[in-house]
Amino acid sequence: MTWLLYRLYRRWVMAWLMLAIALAATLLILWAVMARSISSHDVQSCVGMLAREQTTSSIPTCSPGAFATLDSFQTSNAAVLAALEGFPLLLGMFMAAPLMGRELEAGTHRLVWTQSVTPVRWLLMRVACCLGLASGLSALVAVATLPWLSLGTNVWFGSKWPDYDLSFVVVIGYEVFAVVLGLSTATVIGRTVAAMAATGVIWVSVRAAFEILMRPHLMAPVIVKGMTAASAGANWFLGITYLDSTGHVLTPAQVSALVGSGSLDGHGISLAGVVQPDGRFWAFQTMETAVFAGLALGCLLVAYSWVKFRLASQ
Amino acid sequence: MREAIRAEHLSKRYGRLFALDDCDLSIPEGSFTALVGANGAGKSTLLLLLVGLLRPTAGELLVFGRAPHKERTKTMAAIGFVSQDKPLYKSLSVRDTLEMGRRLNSTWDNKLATERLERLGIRLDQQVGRLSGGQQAQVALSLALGKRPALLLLDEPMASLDPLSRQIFLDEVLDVTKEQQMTVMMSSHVIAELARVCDHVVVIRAGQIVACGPVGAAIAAWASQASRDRPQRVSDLEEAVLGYLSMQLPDGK
Repeated sequence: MTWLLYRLYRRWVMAWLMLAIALAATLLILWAVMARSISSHDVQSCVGMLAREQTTSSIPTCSPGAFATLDSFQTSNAAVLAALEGFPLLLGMFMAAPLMGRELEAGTHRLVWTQSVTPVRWLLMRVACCLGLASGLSALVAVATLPWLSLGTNVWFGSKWPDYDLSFVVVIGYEVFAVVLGLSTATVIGRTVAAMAATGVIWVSVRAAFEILMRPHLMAPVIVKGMTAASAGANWFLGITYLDSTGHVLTPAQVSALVGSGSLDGHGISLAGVVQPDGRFWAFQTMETAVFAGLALGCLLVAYSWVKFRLASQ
Repeated sequence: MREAIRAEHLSKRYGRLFALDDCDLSIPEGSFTALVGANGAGKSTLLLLLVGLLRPTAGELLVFGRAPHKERTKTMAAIGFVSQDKPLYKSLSVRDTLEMGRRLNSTWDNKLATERLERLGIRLDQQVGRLSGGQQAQVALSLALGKRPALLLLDEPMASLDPLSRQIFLDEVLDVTKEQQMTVMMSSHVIAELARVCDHVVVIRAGQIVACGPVGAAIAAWASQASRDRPQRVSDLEEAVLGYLSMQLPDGK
């Protein structure tokens, strides 16, 4: 079965490999150019000054070249983020969904099933080969991303959170989910183009919903009195809240009712930062990866049931 | 004689529609059975049940004593199947297609599969997608025969072929099946071809088997039932096939 998949898709595998190599090479070139620029304009010192000055509210004193490099880094980082966040989506939409959809459209799955291959083995081999290939490609890209990430950590005041979505742990979770989702939607829908579209819509929806609604609450945030975005340092700053004199959190409505037109200090109310501490970064990565791996397992169960009870033996 | 296929009260329902309804069937080993019926009568459903790609709604279906949907791997090792649409991987070469057969079947006879294609002038290095419809049918047949199956199921294998290709295809089927003492069940709309090769016939009408057995006995059973039924229930195809078959019988009945 592995031989058959290799013979059928070897040109396709080569094309994907070339794409991953091109992406990795682009990342490394971009990193080399940006690292040189950061070093030549002494951006490290500028970032240090900015960090100190933000806390003291004084005017930054970096050179124009350093500011330009920082701007350029932010633009490049956004592009890298988009490209790497999109890579699992590409794998799901353009590798996994067509791999299954074309087979079902052409009816060649029945050719294989009427040899001595069971439908379940057929499905699992396709999932395993597709996941294996996608993992290899993702690993290649993830390794090439490491220098860029270290660059980012230095520029973002030592925080890993801004590049959270590029870290190789969650990238594995996204990639596994995207690939299994692509295979599963194609199995259920049985049409390549429709499956590709469905994979894209579902993947983007799930990723966005998780990032906005669930990720900040994976662990209860910590409230630090007096902390602001500027003084959050390496922590993930989620927002501000209000505390009363006993340290209890107040809602904005409660604050309005208590304070009226007076001052916060007069009522013993203080501002506090809501953060996820820097030390939780890897715990978050592990939890999010587990959630996406769980979603992938759910998709796989759907595909398995569909093949076993619908396609193979109605 | 041992039974290759046995069905008792076999039914298959798609939603509310019965594709097969309470069918009894017995096909002896070594027979060449024509499966006759109008479009939508249930022929393909029966063949798909035999290869375990469908599960019976009720009743029992056994192929060499095994239920195909329960013991798929063991049953499929004994069955060669050529479906109506003859799905093949168009991007593979003929050689790779046969290699796939070898790798996926423990009983594969590469010599048999390769030699018959070479005899037909089909180049092994040619891409399957570039072959003519007749040549693709021959590759699909080789893939089925290379397994050295005890039962060969052919679902309208000649539907898209020109008369010459049909002739060649059927001659090949006859040669190999006689040589290997194979049981064959073939559905087809090409009356003359069925008459030339079959010794048993199964007539399906609207999901029910109206005749099954050796040609003579089946025709007699069919004729008796057809005379009882309203004429419009008997399809033109049934009438044509069985009329033609009866003309081919030695005593002309």
